[in-house]
Amino acid sequence: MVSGGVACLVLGGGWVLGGAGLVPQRSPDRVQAVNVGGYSVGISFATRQPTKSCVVVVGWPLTLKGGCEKGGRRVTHLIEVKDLQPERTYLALVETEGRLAWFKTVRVETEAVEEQVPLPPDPGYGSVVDPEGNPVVGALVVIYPVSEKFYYPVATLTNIEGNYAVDISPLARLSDRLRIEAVSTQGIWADLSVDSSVYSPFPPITVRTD
Amino acid sequence: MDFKIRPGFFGGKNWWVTMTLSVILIGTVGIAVILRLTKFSSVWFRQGAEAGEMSLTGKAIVAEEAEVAEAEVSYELLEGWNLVAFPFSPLTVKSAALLIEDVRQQGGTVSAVSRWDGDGWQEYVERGTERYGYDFAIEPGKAYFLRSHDYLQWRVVGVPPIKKEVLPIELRSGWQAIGIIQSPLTAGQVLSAINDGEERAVEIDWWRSGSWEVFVQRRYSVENAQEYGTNFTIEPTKGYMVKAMSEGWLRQFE
Repeated sequence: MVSGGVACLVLGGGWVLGGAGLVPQRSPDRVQAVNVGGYSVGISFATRQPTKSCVVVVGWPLTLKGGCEKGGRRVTHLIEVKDLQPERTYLALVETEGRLAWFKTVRVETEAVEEQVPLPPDPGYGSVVDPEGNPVVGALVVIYPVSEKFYYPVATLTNIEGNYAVDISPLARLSDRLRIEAVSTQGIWADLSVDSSVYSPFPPITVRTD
Repeated sequence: MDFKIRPGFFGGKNWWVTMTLSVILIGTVGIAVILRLTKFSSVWFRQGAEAGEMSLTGKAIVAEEAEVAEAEVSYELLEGWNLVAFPFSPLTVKSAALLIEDVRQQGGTVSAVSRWDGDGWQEYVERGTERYGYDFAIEPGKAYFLRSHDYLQWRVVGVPPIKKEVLPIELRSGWQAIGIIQSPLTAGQVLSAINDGEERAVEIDWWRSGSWEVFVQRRYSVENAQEYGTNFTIEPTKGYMVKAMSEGWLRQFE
């Protein structure tokens, strides 16, 4: 897996043609770095078809870290890579189905270790439902600060009750408003904006699941 | 480009330059390896010797030799966020969800339990019958933030660890949320035990009713070590945030 990812990097990144050709249904979409800390990053993405995916993170001085999803194939993906170094730039390669053909890259810079003791937690939580109000299990939820300045979002997957909880303390100090995006297990996106001062639970996000 | 070994490389008039550079290179690498091995050895043995000299006698909830069936500790949960730790293996609060349920059965309300994953807080929340996020295990030696909505004297029953089986706490670079079983100790003693003459951990903080109580210990040189803030007393039921500059260990009861 790691050597495969590196081979892709050597090829130059982006799309490449593999044995089965370009197959967007299983290629990762909306790949982004989330939950970025000093020592770990998360990579979130979605695929149109259920897949098994891995992430390889490459840094300099030469560092190779990676992780693969456990369990069955899925459409919404969140893979965490640990044991990184603060304030370094890494290139994350997302690979699906173990095929070199279906991969994308994202550049990520790990945060500096905070000089001051971290803020206490500030849980942001809510639910993702389908148009009939049924909980959507395994939906990908990504929360951004509404700000002109770029900041890495935080992300999680909904639990078996279709609910999510994630620490928004790093975001709430950056902006008064948050944008919450959710992607259903069918790969369909929806979003809403909330005041970061609004007490959780946030309003439910309705996503189509057809 | 075509690389060839020149016939005169080792036998020409510059052979002595090559040999000298090779000897210097090999010698430098050798000295570096020896120094590194020596440093590791001295750190290893110094840790053992000085930990004993500190005479950090334990009065915490630990069993001296044989296993003790159960012990009970009491927590004063204030309304708001409380940073707690468990000095034993809790019997009734083995996970965040069970912790919330246990508080509920004792007449209180905790809606959120947060644990530090090395980079940020991982959340588990319950509101009414709804559960948000993923449940996680409650472990001794780690600290947890609890969001309480009432004042409560909360009792927790657990199995005390056997003193000699208390595992050292591994500290990685950055911030950690830990619980310390050994008592009595001060914040300064904890940092000194981690630092062992070097500067591995510089700050330990505890959460007091809505703000951080900070204690900093800096070692600017051998003669110049400074402490900042109140050298507070460590309590086994409280959680602490420790900032480590490099990897280290907190060995208790040694």
